[in-house]
Amino acid sequence: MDIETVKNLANLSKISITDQEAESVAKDLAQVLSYVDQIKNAPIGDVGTEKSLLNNNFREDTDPIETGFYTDVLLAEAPNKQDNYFKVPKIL
Amino acid sequence: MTIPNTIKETHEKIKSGELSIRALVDSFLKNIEEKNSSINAYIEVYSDIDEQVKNAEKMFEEGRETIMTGIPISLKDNMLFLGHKASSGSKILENYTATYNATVVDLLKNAGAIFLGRTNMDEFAMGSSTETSFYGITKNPLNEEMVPGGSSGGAVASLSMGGTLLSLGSDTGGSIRQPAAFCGLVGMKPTYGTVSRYGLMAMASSLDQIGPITKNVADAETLFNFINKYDKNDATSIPENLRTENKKEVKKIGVPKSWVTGEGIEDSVKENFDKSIETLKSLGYEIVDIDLPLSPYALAVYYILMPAEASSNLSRYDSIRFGMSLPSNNLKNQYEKTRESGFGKEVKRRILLGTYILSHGYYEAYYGKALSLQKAIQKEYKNIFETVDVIATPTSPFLAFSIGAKTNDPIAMKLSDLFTVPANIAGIPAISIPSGDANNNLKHSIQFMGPMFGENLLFEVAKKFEENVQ
Repeated sequence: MDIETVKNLANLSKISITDQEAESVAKDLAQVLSYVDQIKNAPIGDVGTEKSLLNNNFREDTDPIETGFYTDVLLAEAPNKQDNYFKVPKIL
Repeated sequence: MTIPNTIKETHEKIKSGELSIRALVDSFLKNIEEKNSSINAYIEVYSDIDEQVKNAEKMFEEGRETIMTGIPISLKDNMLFLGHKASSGSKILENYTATYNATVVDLLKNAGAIFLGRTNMDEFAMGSSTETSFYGITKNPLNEEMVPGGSSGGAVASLSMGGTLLSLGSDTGGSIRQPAAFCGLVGMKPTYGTVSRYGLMAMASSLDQIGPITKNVADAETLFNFINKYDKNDATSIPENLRTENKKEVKKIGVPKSWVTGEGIEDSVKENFDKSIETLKSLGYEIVDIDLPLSPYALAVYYILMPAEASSNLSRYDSIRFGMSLPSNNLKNQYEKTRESGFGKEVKRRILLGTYILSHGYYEAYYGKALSLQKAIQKEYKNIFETVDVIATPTSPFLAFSIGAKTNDPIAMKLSDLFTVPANIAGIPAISIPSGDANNNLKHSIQFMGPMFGENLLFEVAKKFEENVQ
């Protein structure tokens, strides 16, 4: 794990990071990765294809809500809004 | 004023007029007033308590009361209570006000429970000591030089310091049971899919579970039964007709000996556990040595699944829809600045780790392998519960440690969850209860794990043990 890798991860995660922080993060992540590397040798055996109960149980999307019904609630905590829309900096 | 021992006793006394809800609530508020400035269990005491008390009194007057009416409870700061702040211990949500109720909050509110306030926690539940919150550390009420455990450290401390009758926490890898053990209380992680997580801020969705923190097993049972309901708003909630019945009586208790004889376990923890096993034997239980060869991998599986899921879940803190926003004329810059400043050190590390684990080239080696291993561990527990009714282990390999002692060692801190994480990986229920006095005014604890939907077995054995613990 090197600084460039950490900076790339920070870019993907949309978190700005200084070189100094990246160095400290690289050290910590390397330690955690070396701990979790033990799973590579775990004797898993045959786990089969049996469906677990621990799955998302999707339901039918019935009785749709009328458009705009929750607009106020959804926008209530928006830091920046205009005319029932979230407002973001100009992109193009 | 003497606070009754259990929810049921409290309820009876309110009903008979022997105890007023106002007096009950005031006695807790007085303790909070006296102790919170040094313990820092509560981030906020709610301002609408009077209104809640009046509503509960009215429910009694009109005969609409439930077992929870007038019962004071504290909420972990990652649960939504409409119109009240909820921040998950983070700066990025410092000014966030909930726009809806979590299902557990709805259930308890409709029943007339009194929410006293929101409790401190490791930021986004990432930690085992409540030292990573934006709102400062929480101290252990049993010994203020020690951490209360985490991540539900504030929740547990709010009860331990006498600041509530009940508390709700969330447990992704031990975040209810480990702090309950550190502070000498009962903490329970129910079966995955029983208690709804709708309105709980997600960390690792395939592991997160809400559960009770109480003074005794009877209250854990009462509170669990109250919030244990199928909820269509939680896609992982298991419909009641799919929940399998379990045996009614515990006879055989499995003990994975290798866990207790391994390295890194404090001697006093071993000694106390041996004593607990003798107590269980004297109560007539048959103790069976069991082997769980894959369980030692559970913590490593956890440190792959959890950051992977957390890095995805925390992408919602985008400076646009809610939460903190540091405006910029460039969108990418706005994301990066806000998330850099809004998230604490540990949260950023876990997001970066999760992003690495999920990135092309590593996904199969880490995430794919961890998922297969999780499935194998689930199978391991399913099979072992064919031969034993419950499993007993210590809750944590060590007792509450000094504040600051493990903050700079990423592995040492994580080892405190060694014995609690397997239940989350397997999706099974587990309860931690005190098992005797330890040095420095701390408490020892024992954990019982049961098969899926086997909460009744845990309550049964834990109650008997509780009555007989020295």
